[in-house]
Amino acid sequence: MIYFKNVSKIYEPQSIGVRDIHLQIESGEFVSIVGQSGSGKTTLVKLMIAEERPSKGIVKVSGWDIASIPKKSVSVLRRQIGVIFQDFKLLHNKTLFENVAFALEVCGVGNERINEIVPQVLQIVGLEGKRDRYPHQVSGGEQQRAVIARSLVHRPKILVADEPTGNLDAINTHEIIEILKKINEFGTTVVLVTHNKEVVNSLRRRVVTLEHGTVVSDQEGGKYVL
Amino acid sequence: MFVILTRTVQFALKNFYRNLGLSLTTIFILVLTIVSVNTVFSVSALAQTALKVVESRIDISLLFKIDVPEDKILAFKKTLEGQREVAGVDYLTRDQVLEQFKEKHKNNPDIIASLNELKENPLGASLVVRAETTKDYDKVLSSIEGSEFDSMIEKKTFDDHAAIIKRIGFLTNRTKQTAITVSIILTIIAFLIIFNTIRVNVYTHREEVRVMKLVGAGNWFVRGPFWIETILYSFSAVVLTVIIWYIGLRFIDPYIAQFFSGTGFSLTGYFNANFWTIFGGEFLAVAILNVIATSLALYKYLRV
Repeated sequence: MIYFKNVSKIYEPQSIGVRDIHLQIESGEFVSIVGQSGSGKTTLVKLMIAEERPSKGIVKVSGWDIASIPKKSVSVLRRQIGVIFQDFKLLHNKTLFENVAFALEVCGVGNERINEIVPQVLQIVGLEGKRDRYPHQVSGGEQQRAVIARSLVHRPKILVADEPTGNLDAINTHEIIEILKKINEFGTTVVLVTHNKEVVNSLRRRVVTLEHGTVVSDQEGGKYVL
Repeated sequence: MFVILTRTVQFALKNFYRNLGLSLTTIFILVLTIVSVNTVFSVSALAQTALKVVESRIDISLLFKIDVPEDKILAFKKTLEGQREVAGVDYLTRDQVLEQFKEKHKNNPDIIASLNELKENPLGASLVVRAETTKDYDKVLSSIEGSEFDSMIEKKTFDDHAAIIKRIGFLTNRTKQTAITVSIILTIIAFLIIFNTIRVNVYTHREEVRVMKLVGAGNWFVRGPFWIETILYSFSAVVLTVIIWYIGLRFIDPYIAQFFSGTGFSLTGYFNANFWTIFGGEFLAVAILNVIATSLALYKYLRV
């Protein structure tokens, strides 16, 4: 599903994003990628969603070779990968329903289908009663849930969550992680990038640890060891 | 395809409406730019008309010796009329020339008294030659001087006009050059203004563009609403300019008509006659500039 072989990303002039990464994530896995700031976690995410191209090595996501993926195909790839960021990235002039529907609208999905899918995903994340509220009218946790709902509308095979709980309190963090677990149970591969020790330890899933741009540990049922 | 097209238009209209302040500012700047361009067109048209009026009053008068027979003068007239550079030739008999002379000097009693002293008409017949353009007078004169008829001519009045013709030719060229230069400068300024205005517009939508890219929108779908929005700006700006311009012309035109009385020239007539060329051309130019500016401004956000 996700395959990194001998991957390095060097930012000009000599800043190293990641170096000699070997990593394979299978379909249906729930993998936590941990590491301190600057360890290369976000670079790894950017490589997965083709926001960056590797300087060296092979990156394959859902069969796409990221080093040579045509620009036109990037949008197709991104419909297969749901992405969640720490800073939510919701549009403030749209309601939660409109924000989620937006992901379908820009891909040319018809209104009938939108009205069918959006309520379903809002229900999965528990926002069915707040569909007409604007982002500033709901809590941080609810905003993040709306982002998760938006990332689910294309029924992605992979969900990449980059510090999704970074701005949330303990209760909301727990709720978001529970939603991610539920999504994983449906068969979606989940890649969780975090430095939240409690979250990683409570999951008891595979943990990949990055340090200075390289993988220093990769353990099934691992713990946060840094 | 139809869904994407409809949605692109919908997004463009929503952007236009939701950022009404910015949209109106952009349109206002475009209107100012188009009005400036129209002012250059007007000044150029007025200058050309003024020069044509002066040009039409210029001619070469050939005054023949009194003993030259009429048939020879008419033969010369025919030769001149055969030249490509000659717009027209009028023949004045000796009596007509005398009448004109008297009329011209009616307020000078000494000249009139001197004429009355003479028993015979002292003036020969005359040909009045008008060239197609002021540039052609030199060629016409050369052809006269090199012809067999030159020896029959007592006086050529063109020498009196030579300086003014030269000046008019210079002014005509200078007006055209100035209009072209000003148009080029205005186009560059317009492009810079439009580019910056559009860049601000795109900047305010940068989060939306990022989200669109993040959720899998293709580049054409991201560009589409912006392009339609800028075409909408261009259309609104040209329509507003037409309204403002014609209101302005209603006030200015009476003064212009007074200045060019007898020529039938009016700015309203000029803009009516060239309506689609001017305003259609301006719409196309502004829309193309806008689309280019939008594409350039969007470029860095589309790389995500």
